[in-house]
Amino acid sequence: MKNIIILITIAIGLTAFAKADAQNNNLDHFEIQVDGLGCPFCAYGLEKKFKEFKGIKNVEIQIESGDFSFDYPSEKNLKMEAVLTQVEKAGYTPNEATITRADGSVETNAVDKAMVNKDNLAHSTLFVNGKCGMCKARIEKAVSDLPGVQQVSWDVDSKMLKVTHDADVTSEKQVAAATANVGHDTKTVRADESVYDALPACCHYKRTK
Amino acid sequence: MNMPLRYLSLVVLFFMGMVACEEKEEVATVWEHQENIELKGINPIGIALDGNDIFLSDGDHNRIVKLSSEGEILMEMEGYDRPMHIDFGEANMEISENMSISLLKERALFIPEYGKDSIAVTRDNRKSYLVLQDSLDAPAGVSVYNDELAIADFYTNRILYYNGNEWTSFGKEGKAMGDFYYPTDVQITDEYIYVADAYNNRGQVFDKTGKPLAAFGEDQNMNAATGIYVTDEEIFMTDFENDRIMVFGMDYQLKQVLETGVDKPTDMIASGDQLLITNYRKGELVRYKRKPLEKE
Repeated sequence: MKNIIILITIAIGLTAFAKADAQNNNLDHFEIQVDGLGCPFCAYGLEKKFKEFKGIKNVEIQIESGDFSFDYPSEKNLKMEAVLTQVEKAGYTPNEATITRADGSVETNAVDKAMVNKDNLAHSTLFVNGKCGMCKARIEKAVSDLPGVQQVSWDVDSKMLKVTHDADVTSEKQVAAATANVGHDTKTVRADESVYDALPACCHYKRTK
Repeated sequence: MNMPLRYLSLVVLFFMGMVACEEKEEVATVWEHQENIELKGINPIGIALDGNDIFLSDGDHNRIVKLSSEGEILMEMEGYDRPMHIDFGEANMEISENMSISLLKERALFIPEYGKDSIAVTRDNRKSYLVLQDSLDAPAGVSVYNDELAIADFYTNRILYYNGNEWTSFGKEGKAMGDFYYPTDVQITDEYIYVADAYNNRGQVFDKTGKPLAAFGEDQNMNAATGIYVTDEEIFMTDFENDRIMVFGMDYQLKQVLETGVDKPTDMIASGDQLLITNYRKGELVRYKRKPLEKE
């Protein structure tokens, strides 16, 4: 237990140090969670795409966890939207992202879940087609972005999606529509061909007719 | 023909017949798992052999590592930007070193640098770069065969091929025969060019004009066929996401699936009765050995 506490303390310290270091050098610090970077070709591809941002520094990718971070000159005022678009351009789905500006202010793309009525929660389970970690990231993001959704989890092996949501705000039908909108078929809603075709190569699951 | 010569020719014919009969008696073999060797701090992507020495590209740490046959690190070469599928060879090609261009005339290790869009050529700790007329976008694999060279270029979905005189290229993004969806590895043989068509989850075979001849493995539910290696008898492919090595015969029929000890494999190489596989994520070298198939 003592070791775990020490390790956590060191990790927090190192993160704080990285942020402080970025701030000292007039650099904004960016942290983006990109799930499904299991393959080195994908991970290095993401890194390569971000090299298009001239002046980018201290790029780090943890392939296992999908944690991606970098520093960027503060005076260039790189926006959250541009970062998320660049991740998508590389073929990935960004999850939670945080920018710690050089002046210490913090921006995040996290959706505010305060609207969820906890007395009206329903639990839905539905089949959603997909095949890999990137599919998981995309499906979970699409559903968690819906209003009234509190918890989402999709299992790669069983392909079952479990959602805890305020049924008065978002129905199961809307959940199915949201996954189809990002290219993943359910038993009731089929994704458009063009959206399916635009999925990254490793996400092309076998469709049922 | 006089008598002694006639007898001699009969003896020669008899002996040749014996040899031919012996050749026909091929023993069926299978690959059997031997051991997993832990590679501390290495996440191997490509593998090449130089005698008994093993060379690995360590993409995560931007270096090439030379190992003994027991997996002991003998040498590290740093400063490669995401090195991928590597190969040894001697190709009569133009290389640039310190702004000057010369002709490579010795055996060298060819290293595609995915992050630098170039092919490094390394020998005796000297690093040069291949002079290319075309531009690359994330080269993921290279193969050298006599004076020929092929490059699998990931983002342009092409194979660039040098036949000893001139460069050509073939392939485009797609799913049809001859198309690619992110090629990650390539190997030239005497007659053909084999490609790991990674995210079409298959292998493809081309003649040396770039004409597609065959696609295989599409029915095996592979998920990211990232590496390919071809011997005279077998074609090996990595099935990265499913933790498998698929072994095909030269007729493209599946012969064996290697799963024991295989975990996120990226490449493999066979030498004699030994097959070495790189486990990328766990940082391991897996050794298989060819054994006669036991009759039931």
